[in-house]
Amino acid sequence: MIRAIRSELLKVRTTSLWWLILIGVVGFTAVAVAFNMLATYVTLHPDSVGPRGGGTGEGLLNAVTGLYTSGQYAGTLLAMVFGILIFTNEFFHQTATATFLATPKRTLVIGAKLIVAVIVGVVIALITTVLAVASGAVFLSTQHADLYLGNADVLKSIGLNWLAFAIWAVFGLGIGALLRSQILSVILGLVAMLIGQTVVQVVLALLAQYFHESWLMKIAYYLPSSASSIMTSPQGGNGFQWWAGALILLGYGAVAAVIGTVITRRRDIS
Amino acid sequence: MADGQIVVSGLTKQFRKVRAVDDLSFTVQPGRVTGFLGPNGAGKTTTLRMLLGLVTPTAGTATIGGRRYVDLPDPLKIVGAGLEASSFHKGRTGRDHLRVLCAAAGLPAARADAALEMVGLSPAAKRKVKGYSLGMKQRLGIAAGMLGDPQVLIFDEPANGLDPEGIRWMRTLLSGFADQGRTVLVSSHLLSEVQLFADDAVIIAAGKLIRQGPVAELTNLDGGKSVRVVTPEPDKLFTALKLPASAVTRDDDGGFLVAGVPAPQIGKTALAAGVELHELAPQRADLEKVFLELTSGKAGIR
Repeated sequence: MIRAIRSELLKVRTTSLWWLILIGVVGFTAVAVAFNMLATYVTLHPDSVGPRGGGTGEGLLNAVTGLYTSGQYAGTLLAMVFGILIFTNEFFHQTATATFLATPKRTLVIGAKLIVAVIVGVVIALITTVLAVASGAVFLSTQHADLYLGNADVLKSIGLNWLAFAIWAVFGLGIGALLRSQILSVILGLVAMLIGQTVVQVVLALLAQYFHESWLMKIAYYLPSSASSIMTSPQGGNGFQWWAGALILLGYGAVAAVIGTVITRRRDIS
Repeated sequence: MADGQIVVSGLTKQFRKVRAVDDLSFTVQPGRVTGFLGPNGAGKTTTLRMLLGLVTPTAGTATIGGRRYVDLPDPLKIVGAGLEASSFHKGRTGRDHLRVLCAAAGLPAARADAALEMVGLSPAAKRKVKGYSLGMKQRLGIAAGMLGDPQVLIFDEPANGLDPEGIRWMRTLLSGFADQGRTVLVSSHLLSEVQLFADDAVIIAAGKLIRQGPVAELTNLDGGKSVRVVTPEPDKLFTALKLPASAVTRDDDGGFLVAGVPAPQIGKTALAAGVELHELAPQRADLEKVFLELTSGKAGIR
């Protein structure tokens, strides 16, 4: 297993994928930090935008949490794309043959990729967190505002950030193993993450109205992207605790990975 | 593991509608280069992939030294393989490709450099594969097979894309491996190629075994018994030989093919009868001809 993991890490290090992802992560985090600084500024100085504002403690708490976890949205997306690519690359570049010749036990290969996906997810999370927390704290101190770094909710959100990245990377790997086609996997992953949520929500809302069953609306909370946002919000959300969100997301990742593994074990490599 | 015998027994693979490999059985011995021959689409690659655990057989077994590939504890140290549809990440250097495999097989990274040296790729080691020629990729594939210094070598169409110099190099390399007592199984759809570097041949068509045996024996299948004679006095010679007309056929170049009489006897009779001979050559059938005869009617496209 150690060998397989070493081999997979070396694969990541020996192509240009890692620094492309890195550039993406740093770039998106910078944009997100700037945006969240603006949002925090507005929350701190409500008079600057309109006649009345609600600079309440809770609004500020959410703004600061957002600032400290800047880049999570784009970062988790890139972590997922990375998860997809480390699997589908083997088929896109036809390296699967060499890989499975060196490690004929295919479950080992997928296990190693899973661990590498988690490692890279966590590394991406660390990069965004260091960037966001450092620049965020500097920004807050220039505004003579409380840094909130002693606040339990804020710390919890920062602490759970890495989990979101890791789980999304595993989720991506699962999609890749399931579909094997690089383009199809990336499109499906992005759709599930970006558009799918809204579409399903609208459909569910219509269904709920038609059948007068409000519980149908709640299904949307079990979708990957809302589970993710529930997990990383300070107080959970929609009546869910953060760990419920984590479990739902982990469930998706695990199901995708297990089905992908079963399929890969049986598939003919040609 | 001194014994590197490959045993294929009753191997069958049914893809949706096509029986790519059909109850195929043959053995490959150590210390010899064995050519695995068949027209395109005969099932060669599928057979090799089943042997290497990449494709699951519908029925039958394929073992290396008595074990299935997936059951080998350190496969790259026992079997080295280069398959045709196997490729390389274009953005990775040749050296890094081998180092990735070394890491997976628990081999020291230095083996990658040694293998590159062996196939003459050292100067291009740190270049990305997208800049490699077809011949260089073939060499990289062979280097990948040599990483674990294995007892058994299996290459799918290794001479594809090689220039004459490259083919000569390949021939020397393969026979060198066989001389060291290794098992060498090489597939090809080109007879001339196999005739060049193989000791044994396994010929398949339409997924079925056509014939297995030493190349020298296979080329004597229909030849051997016929002798080509060129003479200005054919009637005198054939009368002296007391041959029936059916034993002699005229070929396109003004010679005669004589069946049933060995060359030394024809020479001796000619001398005694005072017949002038310009050519006296025992015929060895071209493997190409044997192959076409054996596989004709079993089209490669199914």
